[in-house]
Amino acid sequence: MTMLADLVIAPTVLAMHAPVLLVIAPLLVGAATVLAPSGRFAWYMAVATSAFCLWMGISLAMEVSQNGVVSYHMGGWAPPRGIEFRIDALNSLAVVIISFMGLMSAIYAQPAVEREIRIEKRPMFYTAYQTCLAGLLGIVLTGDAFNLFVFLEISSIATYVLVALGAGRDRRALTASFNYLILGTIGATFFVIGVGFLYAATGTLNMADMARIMEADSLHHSRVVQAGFGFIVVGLGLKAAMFPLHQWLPPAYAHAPSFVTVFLSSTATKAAFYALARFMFSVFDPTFSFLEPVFLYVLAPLAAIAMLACSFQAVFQTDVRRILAYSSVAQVGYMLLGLATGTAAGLTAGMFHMANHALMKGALFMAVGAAALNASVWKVSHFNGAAARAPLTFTGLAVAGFSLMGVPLTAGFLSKWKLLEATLAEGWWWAAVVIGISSFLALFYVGRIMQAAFFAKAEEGAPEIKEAPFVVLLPLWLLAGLNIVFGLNPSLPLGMAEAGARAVLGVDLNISGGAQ
Amino acid sequence: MEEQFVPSVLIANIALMSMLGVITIAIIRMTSLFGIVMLSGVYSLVSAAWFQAMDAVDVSFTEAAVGAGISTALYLGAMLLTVRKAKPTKGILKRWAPLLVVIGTGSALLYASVDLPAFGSLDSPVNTGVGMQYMEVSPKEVGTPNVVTAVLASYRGFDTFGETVVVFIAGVAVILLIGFGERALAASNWRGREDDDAQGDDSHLILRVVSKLLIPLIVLYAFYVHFHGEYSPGGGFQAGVIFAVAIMLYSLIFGLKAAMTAFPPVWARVGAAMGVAIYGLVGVICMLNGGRFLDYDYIFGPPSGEAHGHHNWPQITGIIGVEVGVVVAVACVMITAFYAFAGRTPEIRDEDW
Amino acid sequence: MVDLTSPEFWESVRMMVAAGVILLGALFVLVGSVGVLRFPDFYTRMHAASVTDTLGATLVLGGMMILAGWSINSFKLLMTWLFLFITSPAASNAAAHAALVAGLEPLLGKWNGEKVEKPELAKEG
Repeated sequence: MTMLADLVIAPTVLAMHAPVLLVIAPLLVGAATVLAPSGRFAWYMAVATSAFCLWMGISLAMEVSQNGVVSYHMGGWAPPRGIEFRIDALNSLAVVIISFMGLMSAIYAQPAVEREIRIEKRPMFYTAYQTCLAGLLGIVLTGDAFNLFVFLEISSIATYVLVALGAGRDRRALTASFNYLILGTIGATFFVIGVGFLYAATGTLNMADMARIMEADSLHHSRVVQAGFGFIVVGLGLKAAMFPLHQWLPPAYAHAPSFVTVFLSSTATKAAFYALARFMFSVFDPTFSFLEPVFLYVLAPLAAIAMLACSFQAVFQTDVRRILAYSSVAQVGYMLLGLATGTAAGLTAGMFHMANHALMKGALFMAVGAAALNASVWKVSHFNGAAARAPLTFTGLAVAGFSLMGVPLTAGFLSKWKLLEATLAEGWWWAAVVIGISSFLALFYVGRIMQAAFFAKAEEGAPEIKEAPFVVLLPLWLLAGLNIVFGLNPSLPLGMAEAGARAVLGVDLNISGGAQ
Repeated sequence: MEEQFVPSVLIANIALMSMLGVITIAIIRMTSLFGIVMLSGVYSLVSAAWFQAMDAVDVSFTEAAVGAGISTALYLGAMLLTVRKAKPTKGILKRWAPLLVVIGTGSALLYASVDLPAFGSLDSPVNTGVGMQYMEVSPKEVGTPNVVTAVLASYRGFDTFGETVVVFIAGVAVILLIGFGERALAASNWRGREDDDAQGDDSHLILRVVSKLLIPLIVLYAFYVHFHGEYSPGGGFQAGVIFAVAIMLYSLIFGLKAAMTAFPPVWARVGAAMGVAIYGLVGVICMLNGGRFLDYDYIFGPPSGEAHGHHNWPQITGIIGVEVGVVVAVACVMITAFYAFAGRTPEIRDEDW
Repeated sequence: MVDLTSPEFWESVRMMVAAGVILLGALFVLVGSVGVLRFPDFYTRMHAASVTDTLGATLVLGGMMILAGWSINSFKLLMTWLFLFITSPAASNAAAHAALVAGLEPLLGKWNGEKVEKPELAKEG
């Protein structure tokens, strides 16, 4: 264990700058990738940056777990005058998830990109990927509200172009990307209006400072602050695909290049969700008098509707990626339900489910993309009998699918269980019913894919599905394996989520029960 | 504290804002895309005047250069690739969902406006908080006469780095989606360009003479705006846009081919990345010298600690350095976008995707 | 009586002259705007618009230069004027040329108080 720690902890000089290196390394290498001589070389650069980010991320998380809060002052200017990167236990979890999923999807990228992106576009494609990664990491690292907006813009614009590049395979990617662009821009505008209101009310842009001033001057009576909260939640909710602001997500995931779908489904909504949690719990305080009805009568019902309606929609889709995309919206509902309780237990459950969802949805989209490497198979019926031809790919899919359903011994089960505990602690019996129905629906829509792959007979003349190459199977199996590992021993992600809730709410809680 | 109330400013504000309102409604009701593009340019110009009336000269300059200037030109370039008229839209009542969103947003804004501090109030949080700190300490800490430059390039220089990346990634998006602009070079007889040559020089004689006169001045002005940015309104973004305008003017008058010979598309593409790299490397140099990212005090090595005179050279060097990055990135991205739009044949063939 | 040697007197004269010149310029701008609205076709409207560009702008800028006195600001205004003086006729020329190339024919004929009586049918397009 100590040897591993020695390996993971970065040298002092790097560790000192780890927060900013997480952002500027992908940005600068990404800019250099424009000059890469070939797509493959650009891929090496992208994988190297992602690996570096993961290294920095883990090293940062370890530092946070030892020392508490890490604060990095850009330009040497102390906040509130300067911009601060402020990492506590809550963002260190998000940083690790995003950089880990970044590395996994970057490794996965090469065969899919070679199939779907035209040769002269590949270097710049990886530039867009790295810039997007930097933007998402920036969102979760920064402690400055306006800086968060800047990174939101960076990641969003990169996302629009990444999605639109699916046009090489499917022209509908262009409309999907355009819709996403319009809605995303509205969301970003709402967010910046909200930040503007908070700035008008508090006179600062630093999030910790905002929280302090709002608390000290009891500004939650100010209508400016209340409207600011509304605008911020709508803006970030759009990015996080919060029901009913999720309309952009299913087409974008369904028509984007398959590597992009893997990457976005496991990172982009997670970063936005983290930002939402940060604003709800850290900048604002769930005990603010105007927030309690908002949590109870707006957020919780919306989360419940998302879990039911989108699971239901997923059942009736024929395109596999649309099934998974609607399922993603439903899963965001699970996470939001956790937040809506406004308690530490709920926040823990939300963050834990966020980590698990990244693992399982990443693996599922990887498997679906891997099946489509040799043939354009996107319909459920195309998967008939595919498991016999590509057993490794589809076993990976099955493991992640079980986790999504919430079968015991998988990570998905544990996070749903935590959520159940958190909601029942509030006395929300209806939430338990909703979780039950939604999981039951998940059984159907995931079960349909698995039934086709494992038990149905291949039709005559159906597209030939082959086993995926090693670079695809490696991340797929890592993710699928982690679903099992964390299902058996969740102490790592659950511990981090608990530490995050503790850091944000400042309470000492012992809710992990037997998991320690 | 006494409210600072200047009636003439208030009248100007009300007049300009109502003009903005009228223009917005006109844009919504129009179907001619050409008219809409022109009106959006007018909108930007009026808002630039409005910012000017509120003493936000830097913002005003940016709005005039970017909003009224180059984005109108780029919109026109994009419009050439599509139709000239929008489809007639449904009546306002049939589009109830957007209407509801707009009404909801408007009422939220009105709801909040009750508790907003009075316009220009001296004791508002914005004027007593971090904004006042900037005014008080920036002459000592940064030392640029223009406080806006100190805030944008030093205190919040990291945000500006992010904005530069936004511009860069927008350029990447244009290249990836619209093309590299090289195709126009290959098919330079597109849209009767050869006819223009056949007509001889007299058809655009006046324009040629005038633009030859103006282009050097425009470029010179771009450099002035850049290097004078720490004393007066202006800076990297505006300078980059103005520089790009010079190239665009050249391209409009002398043809895309000539412009691409003078400023090859590959320069623009590499330059956009270079701009980001320059900005980032200034920050990395500070890191290597022992400071934080973008801590210009460390740009020549660890600060000696002795009091600097009138000029705080490390800070000013850092600011000029990052602004060079901004200029290069912005100019190259704008030129790239222009080449991509202008160099695109009107029809989009399937095999191009 | 007015003291012709006092600087205050000349100062106020300067202000008045400047105000007069600026107002005159504003009048030309107004006339140009009315012309743009009232003239019958593109070319005549351009003629009206160019009044705004040349005389209007010159007088307004000139008045502002008188206001600013002998200073760097006057020089900047002079440069602005020079820029307008070069560019706006060139732009008008380019617009008119483009219209002609695009096939927009000038409205020719005799004005009878209500409309132009065309000697021959000049169609747009």
